[in-house]
Amino acid sequence: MEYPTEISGEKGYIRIKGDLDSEQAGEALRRAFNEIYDKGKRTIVLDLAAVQIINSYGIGKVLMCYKRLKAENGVLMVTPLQGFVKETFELLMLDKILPTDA
Amino acid sequence: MELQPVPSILLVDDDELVRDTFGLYFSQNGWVYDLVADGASALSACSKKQYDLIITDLVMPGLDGLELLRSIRKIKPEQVVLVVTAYGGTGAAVQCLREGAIDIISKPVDLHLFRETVSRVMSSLRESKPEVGLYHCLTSEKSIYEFCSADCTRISVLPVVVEQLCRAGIIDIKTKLKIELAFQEALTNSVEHGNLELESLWKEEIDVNGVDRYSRVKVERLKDPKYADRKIRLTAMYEPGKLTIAIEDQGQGFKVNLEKRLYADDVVCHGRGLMIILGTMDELRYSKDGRAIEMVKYLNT
Repeated sequence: MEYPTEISGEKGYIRIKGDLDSEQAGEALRRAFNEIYDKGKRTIVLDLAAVQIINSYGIGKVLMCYKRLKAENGVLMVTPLQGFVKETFELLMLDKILPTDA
Repeated sequence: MELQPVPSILLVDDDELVRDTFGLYFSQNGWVYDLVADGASALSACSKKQYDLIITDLVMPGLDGLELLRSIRKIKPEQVVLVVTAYGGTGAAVQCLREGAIDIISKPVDLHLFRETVSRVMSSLRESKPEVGLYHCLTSEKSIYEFCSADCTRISVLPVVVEQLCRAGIIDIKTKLKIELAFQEALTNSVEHGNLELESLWKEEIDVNGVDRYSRVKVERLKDPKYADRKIRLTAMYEPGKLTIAIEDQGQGFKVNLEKRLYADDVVCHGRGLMIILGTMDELRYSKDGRAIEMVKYLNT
């Protein structure tokens, strides 16, 4: 499982394909994140358009990315926040710490 | 108001852009779906899971759409298959219709026409599958499953009754997702914190290779019979208006703090499972020893 990445200007983008609810998904996110991080980008956007479910495992992985970026004054953003994923983020108040990329 | 059953779709196309485009469309419509890139993967998926509709590209490397249709018809003669192709007038496309494809849709796909076709298929399935309507007459159903910790990593463990309730239109896709999410969290807790005795704090201990201690120890304990052979007992009980799911493990047990809450600035990579269960289910109970959890979802029927 691999997530496509893209760099545009100072931002890196990771397109999450399928649900963020398994070890394989978490590992794919880690690899994609490292790929962009190692290229020096510190503003990274997670594209969640194709995600129907994110569970605590996936959220843990997202927050690991958030913490690594924050340690270097970087930013982790999500887009779009919609449907059940949006509800889950709001339930856990993650929408307060992860800004949405317009 | 009776809910309409949610389509369950398998899409087969070797073009990644096509898969992504359809996936987004299905997601926006709240449909349940899987995406695969070739005929062999489609056959594998089809043998493990029930789909209302399989949509396949015609021209693909390896097992093409026509051969896939033939293979599916052998194992599931009743399976509805729709062929999507840029080569609609060719002999192969016509042959697909002769061999049982419900329709051929031309690329680029007219989404309005596509949606009408899916709607027609679902209506036809509802009429031809009385057991879907039978769920509305069901007074109670109880299922009990027992498996070991290692099984949870190999098989899809969501109780069948949840899928059946969604397909019968008794619960909508959003409720199904909530139940599925709560169930995943509870099962993970039982397997990983219960049977495998993994500590949440280990997720914060990252080694030089970027691997956390939790993941490392989990792999080790899934190979250790002392932990891996411990059982999980799952009970799913449906009665009109109520679904109850109970999970019991054979771990050391623990003291549950249902009052614990994380706040927006608690940026730890663990500890949200319980919040998710509390936020998505209507009732939650733990046994005194912490080895069993019972979750209740009230259904609008």
